[in-house]
Amino acid sequence: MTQISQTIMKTETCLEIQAYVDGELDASRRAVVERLCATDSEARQLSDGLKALRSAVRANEPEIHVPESREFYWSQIQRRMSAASATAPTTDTGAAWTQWMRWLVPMAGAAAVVSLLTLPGREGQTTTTLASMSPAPTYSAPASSVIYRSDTDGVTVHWIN
Amino acid sequence: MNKRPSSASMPTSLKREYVPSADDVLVGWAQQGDTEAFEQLVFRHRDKIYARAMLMMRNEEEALDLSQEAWVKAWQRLHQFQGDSSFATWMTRIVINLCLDQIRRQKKTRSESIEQLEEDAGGVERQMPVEIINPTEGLEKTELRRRIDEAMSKLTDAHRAVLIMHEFDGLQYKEIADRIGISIGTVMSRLFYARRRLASLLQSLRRERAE
Repeated sequence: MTQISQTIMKTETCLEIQAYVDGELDASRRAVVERLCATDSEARQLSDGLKALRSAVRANEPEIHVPESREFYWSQIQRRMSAASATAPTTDTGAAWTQWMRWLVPMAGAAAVVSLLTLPGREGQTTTTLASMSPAPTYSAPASSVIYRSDTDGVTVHWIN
Repeated sequence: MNKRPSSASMPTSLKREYVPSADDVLVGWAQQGDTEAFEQLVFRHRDKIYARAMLMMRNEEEALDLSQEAWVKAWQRLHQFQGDSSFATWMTRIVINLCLDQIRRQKKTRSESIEQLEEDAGGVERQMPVEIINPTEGLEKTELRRRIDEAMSKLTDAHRAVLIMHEFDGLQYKEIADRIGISIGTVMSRLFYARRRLASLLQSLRRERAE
């Protein structure tokens, strides 16, 4: 066995012993470690050392206290809670608007397509071009409607009376 | 923020007794928007939550900030608390998650990454004695507690986090692995390294004091 594989084996054994101490092994693996510890003094020493350290650390969790008065600490939390609740409705509104837009956008597109397909012919219709818009070719629309179109802006507005 | 039900406007027989009430009762009231009940929970558990943040971060300012953030998150998510664990355990999980997020963001020092490489290669472990001699024998509780705290402050964030979650929060290897997002093998390796380092640091501190 090479030096490297011995080191790997050793590390694996150490981790197995640690898992045994931490109660992480099933019955069969536990039995293997117990046999090892019974016959190998190095393994037993490691197991005992880990157990001692583990119980010492668990029983002596450092005592740390909030370095501020109860009132001041709570007032800071309260302020954050208020700030969080003040911003929450904005987020909710935004989310609700996004939900609406998911439906509105495709519906508006579909409505536009339908309106273009169902527009009647040119006869008997009037067209008005806004002064602020560039001259546009006449668009067909019913007599009761007015159309504004801007080629430069790529905008067409149907005004139905 | 939700307004608490005004205890002044309640009939005397319905006035809530916050101080003697159990956590689950206070949580129930807080879930109805009673901030006074929530304040009582903060008062009861603030040291534990702050201590956990302080142990993880080793920085008073960060610990204060993260512990307060944990309480705000708890208030916001209180409706999710079903009582599967104790309120203190639930709170501890929140603050630990916040600390882990913060540690990930900080991507701490170069020395830590070097140490990490050594650990992964087994380098540091090879240099340390296999046996862990009990370095805590004969120490008074206060002194031992102080030394453990001091030694823990010298561990890297990655090793300390695993050690705290295992020893103080009683989490199993798999739970730790899931929370941090590492393999169980890495948890075992980090825990073993952290323990050896801790034992070694405790021995060094003991020797220093003896001289």
